[in-house]
Amino acid sequence: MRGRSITFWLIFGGVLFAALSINSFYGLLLTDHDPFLAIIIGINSAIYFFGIVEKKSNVRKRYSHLLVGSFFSYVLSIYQVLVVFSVWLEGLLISSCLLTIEVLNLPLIVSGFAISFLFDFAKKQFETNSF
Amino acid sequence: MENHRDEIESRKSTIALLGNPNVGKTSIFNALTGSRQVVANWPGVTVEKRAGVMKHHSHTVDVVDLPGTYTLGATSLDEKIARDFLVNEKPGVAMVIGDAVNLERSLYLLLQVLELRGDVVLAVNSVDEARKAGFEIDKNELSKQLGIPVVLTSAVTGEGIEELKNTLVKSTKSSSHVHYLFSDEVEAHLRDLSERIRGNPSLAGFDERWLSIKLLERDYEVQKITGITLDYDFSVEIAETRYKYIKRILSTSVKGKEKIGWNFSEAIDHVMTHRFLGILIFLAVMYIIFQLTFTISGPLSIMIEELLGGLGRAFGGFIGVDWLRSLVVEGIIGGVGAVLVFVPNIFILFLALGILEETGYLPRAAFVIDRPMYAMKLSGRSFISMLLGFGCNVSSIMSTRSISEPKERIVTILVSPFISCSARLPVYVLIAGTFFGSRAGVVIFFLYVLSIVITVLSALLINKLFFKGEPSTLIMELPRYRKPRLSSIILYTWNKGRHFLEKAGTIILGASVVIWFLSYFPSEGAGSFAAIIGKSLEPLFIPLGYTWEMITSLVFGIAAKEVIVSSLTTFFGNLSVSGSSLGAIRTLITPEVALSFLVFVLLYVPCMPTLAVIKNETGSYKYVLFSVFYSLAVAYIVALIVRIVGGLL
Ligand SMILES: Nc1nc2c(ncn2[C@@H]2O[C@H](COP(=O)(O)OP(=O)(O)OP(=O)(O)O)[C@@H](O)[C@H]2O)c(=O)[nH]1
Ligand SMILES: [Mg+2]
Repeated sequence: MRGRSITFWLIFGGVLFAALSINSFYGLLLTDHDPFLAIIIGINSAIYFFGIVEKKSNVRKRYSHLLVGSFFSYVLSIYQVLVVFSVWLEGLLISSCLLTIEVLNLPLIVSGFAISFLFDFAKKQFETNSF
Repeated sequence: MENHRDEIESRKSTIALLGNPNVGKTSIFNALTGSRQVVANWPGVTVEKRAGVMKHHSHTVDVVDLPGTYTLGATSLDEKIARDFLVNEKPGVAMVIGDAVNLERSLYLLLQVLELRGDVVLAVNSVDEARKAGFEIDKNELSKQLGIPVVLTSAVTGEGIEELKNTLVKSTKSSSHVHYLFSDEVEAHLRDLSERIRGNPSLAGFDERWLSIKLLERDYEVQKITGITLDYDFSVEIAETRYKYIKRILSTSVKGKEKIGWNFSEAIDHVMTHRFLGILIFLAVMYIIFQLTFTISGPLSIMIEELLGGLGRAFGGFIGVDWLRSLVVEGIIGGVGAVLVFVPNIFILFLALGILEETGYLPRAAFVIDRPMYAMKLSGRSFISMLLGFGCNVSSIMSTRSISEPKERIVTILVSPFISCSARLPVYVLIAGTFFGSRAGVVIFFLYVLSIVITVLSALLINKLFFKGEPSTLIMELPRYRKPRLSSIILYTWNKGRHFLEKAGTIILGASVVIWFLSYFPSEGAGSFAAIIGKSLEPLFIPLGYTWEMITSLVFGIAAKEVIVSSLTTFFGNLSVSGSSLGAIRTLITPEVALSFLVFVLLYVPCMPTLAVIKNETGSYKYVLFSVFYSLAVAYIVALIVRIVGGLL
């Protein structure tokens, strides 16, 4: 994979997470209105976007944005799963269901896990030093 | 001959662990002795010497873990501890632990130890990582070149640990270890100096060649004990000779490809310490951590609460005497229980901090905050200490021992208590949960950011006013990123969290009984001693709008911040309705007063143990007094601002 496709994946990640951020900010699709979470997702999006700003010639720097960005996305998914789990557990204990489809924020969970393949991919590039 | 042997046998009974910071000394120490000392992935974790016992077959030997040091020319307090132990206590065996990935620097220390003494063993640790990085170390060759036993170890996989034990208990007498010569000029000086030192009987216990080398390096301590000060300095030349020698050794004993270009850690660091992204990532990480400590612990706290509620009812049922029932149920179970409810918060916080420390992110965070701060004359090393304060201010103050600039160290000690330690978290969760409901996590995050801001501003102010200090540039090395191992995270969490449980059984228990007594006598409620204390201070707090119950709990909170929670619960309600419903308080104060109270709790007087350690580490009550009054002033002003601004919104 050369320069062109790394740019594609950076834009892809950046746009995807920018969209998720807006989604959480306004509570649009299958999610609660949560401006703070939106900011955190926005930071993730910025990690991808700043990769595009790096010089084209320095492919390694671009890959490091992909590496950290996708890892961050993955962490966000895990974070969201943990939050959902504890909301569910708390509901169980006080015997009332606190879980709604909005609390779940499925778009975030799914995107984060889906994009973790980019992490494996970027990591392999560094390990095999194939730039 | 027999005699000589016995002497060696007895001297061998102590083994000292030396090595560069973060090479895994404590990990090896734990593996050898079965202890559970704190291990973390950044330089400067261990700042005290720690002893343990290693049993191997029929042998029993003492092992001493020392702080890390780059050279034997100590510049900071922790390095001095390591060197003094080696020089003055003369342990039977000096085990130097090296880092297989960074052998050059490890050998630099080793050579200095060999200049000082024999009976040295080299353990080359982290061989697992070295193999992954693609190089092989030939231990036989290394051993031949250095003339001392060499063992390859990995504290993670356990490789080489048995071999290391065998080597340590076997005769480690190695009179024939390497001796290398400096340039003719240096050697001539060394001969002269040795002559002079030999003439001085009080120095008979030291190796004269070593003293002479240190004199040529202008080592301050050695100048003091020998009374010799030279007006020439050969430290650069001596260092060059050592490095040349090391190069030669490494060229034959390490095989493998040089790593090309960027490696993994550098790639991650490019983003983690990015000019703009670095600070954003740091804030995001903090937000995630504090949000998690708040949400995940929710259900766990409910369980503990139910358990304690049941306990209270059970005891309440069969204690007939009124005051005794009140003491047990409200005073002890209520007071201590109010704090125990937060055990999950504390442990999850430590778990998260443990992950940050084990991965190696902590020094990066310090680095990131350091950049804008450098202009403000503070170095990143201080920030590592400060960030540790999120766990406990005592450990953050202890860790300042590795700051080599004394003024900077004092400044760091004085401002560290502003970092919001884990003991304050229960207060936040209780009050924020009562007043801010689902936004509580955000309020808590705000408090943590505020604590960093106040810490930084205070450091600036104190530096400007009293010290006019220059920052020591950030020469902290960034450790390799490591995948955290579950076992070490659990060890870390337990080591730190245990402290909280101990406090619950001691200080908090004691304080709860005292508070119960004061609030029950002479009559309950507004006529109690507790009310008298609070009311007498009330005039001072009129601008802030705190009630006497809040003021009294602040007074007791100086013993330990968690006590604020137990006293508030004693004053405002019983345990079964704690957590989200300290109902009574909600009718007494407004949310902005509650927020201002949280800010006050964050910033006011450090707890007793912190004050004690400030005294200990600075050696002066002057700084303790300063800390008390300064923090009170800051707390009052900022809390007032929060109340006023909050009232406007
Ligand atoms: N992969 C690997 N990691 C190791 C090994 N030994 C130690 N570590 C890790 O290295 C880090 C530092 O370990 P410590 O034992 O705290 O090092 P130390 O030399 O005592 O450090 P200071 O007390 O700060 O001087 C931790 O994250 C350990 O988990 C090893 O053999 N292999
Ligand atoms: Mg250590």
